[in-house]
Amino acid sequence: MFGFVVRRLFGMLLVMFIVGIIVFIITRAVPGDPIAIMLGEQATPEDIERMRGIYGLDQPLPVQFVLWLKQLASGNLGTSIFFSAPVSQLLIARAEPTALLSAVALTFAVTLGLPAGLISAARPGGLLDRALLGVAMIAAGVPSFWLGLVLMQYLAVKAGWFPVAGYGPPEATSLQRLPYLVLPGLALALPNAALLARMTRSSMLEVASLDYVRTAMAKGLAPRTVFLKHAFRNALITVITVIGVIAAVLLSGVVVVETVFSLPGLGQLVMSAVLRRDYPVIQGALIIVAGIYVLVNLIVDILYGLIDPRVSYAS
Amino acid sequence: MRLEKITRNRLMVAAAIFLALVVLAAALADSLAPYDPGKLNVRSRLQPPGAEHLLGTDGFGRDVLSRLLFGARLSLSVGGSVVVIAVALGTLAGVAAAYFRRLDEPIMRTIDAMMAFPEILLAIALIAALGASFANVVISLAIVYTPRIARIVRASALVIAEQQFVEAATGLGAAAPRIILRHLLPNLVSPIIVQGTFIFAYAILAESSLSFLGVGVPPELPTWGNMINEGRPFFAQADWLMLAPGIAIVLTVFALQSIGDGIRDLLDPRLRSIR
Repeated sequence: MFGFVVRRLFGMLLVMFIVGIIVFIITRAVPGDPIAIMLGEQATPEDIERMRGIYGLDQPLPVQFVLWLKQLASGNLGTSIFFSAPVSQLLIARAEPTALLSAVALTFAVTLGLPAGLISAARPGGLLDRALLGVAMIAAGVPSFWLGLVLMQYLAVKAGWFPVAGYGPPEATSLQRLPYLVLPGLALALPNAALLARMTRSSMLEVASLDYVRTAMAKGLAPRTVFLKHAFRNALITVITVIGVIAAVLLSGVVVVETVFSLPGLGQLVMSAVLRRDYPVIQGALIIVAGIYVLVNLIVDILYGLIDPRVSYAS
Repeated sequence: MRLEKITRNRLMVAAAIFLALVVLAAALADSLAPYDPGKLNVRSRLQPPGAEHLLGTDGFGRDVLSRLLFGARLSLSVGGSVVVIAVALGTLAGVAAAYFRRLDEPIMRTIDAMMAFPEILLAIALIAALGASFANVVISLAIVYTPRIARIVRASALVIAEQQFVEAATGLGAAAPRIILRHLLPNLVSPIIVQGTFIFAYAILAESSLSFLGVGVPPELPTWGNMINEGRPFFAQADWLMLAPGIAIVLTVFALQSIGDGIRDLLDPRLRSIR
């Protein structure tokens, strides 16, 4: 187990190195001189040149890359050209809305998707199963930002049940902010709940067709016990994989849904950074988000072993 | 694959017919559209759906149905082009990784790295680097979805390469290009079609998100995503502006995914009873 974790950590470092190369290539290809944009119209060419030197932009690209990697290794994500503040500070300041929104969305996705999948699997082919499956198939194709706009219009603007947008007053506690996260959370969760429902259903049915489930039934155990205790535990492997995937995929939808609901999170930060050509911020955000994804995957892999003793970490 | 087997999946048949109609509507938009999709008419702006304008008019008095039809053309072209490019690149990478052992590690780790980015975020960053245009949206999304194809192709190719008929061909002295072209690729067609169908759907969804964020296809083109974005300020008075293109996206994506599911079930009968 320990060896496995070490091996995976090493593989993770390699992937992150390639992530770094990709991020560097993309951000250096962004057209427009960020320094010229930052200094404005009055700046003389000498000013621009001096600033380029301060940000290390006058060095050849490979040198810039190595310098950047060294910075990263010491935990320094660079300095925002627009805000003149450390990127790490900006990211931390914007992390809370994104983290809370993801948590709310994941909670919705699991509380909607998991029971739906189990109910479907209890009577496959039944009316309830077909209805849930139909809803899930349609929900899987609904664009989150559109769903968000529609929910906002009908449940917030017209019905007035939820705040329309924003993140509440600056002094509000996380708990007081929850109402602001319900609609964006739902918009993000629904397509993912649909995915989870379908995967839960199919893995339950797969497991239910195995011999040991039949044996459990044959020896007279209550079907409910067999279903929830015997079958579900084995179906969990797939379910946890899917939940892991959803946790990672949520971050993608977050960018769009944050924009819809004007939540001051990472997504908004990245969008404005793109418009301002503030590439230290784009770089930092991409690296951190990719890092989170890789980390979530590692955790899911380790969880397998804790749930399923058959999973071997030998090679 | 017998026809009877295909028609048994009624959902897939319905989805295929619907998709065929959408494609037809997109192709014949010029003659089907009742109005010029770009024609401004301030006097008849924000008209609700009715006899004159079946789906109403937008904030500039343009006919929503006509724009929806031309939007179908644009959104399907984005989806289709993304699939073609992603399949080409992904197949190349996947086969190379599976067949040439030394390339496996570098290709697969690069693919892992690319998949570590949230899809929309990577697409935004790529478009920021390339510049926002129709072609660059397609290229960016194709790059984003290439790893999915590559992974599937590599996994399937590894299984096929182990089969006896490949071994026999190698034993008979067939060279690598011949084995790849004659033995590997034909057997990869079905998994690629299934995955390609899903990517078609994802690309349509992603295009609409990018248009909404203002980094997608230029706003003067009536893609479904741009139409939703334009309808946004008028939602309170004229909800059809946002509902029509949104529902078009939902139905098209639903159809594509049903077809993908259907093909997968046909290819792997073991899954039929399960999914």
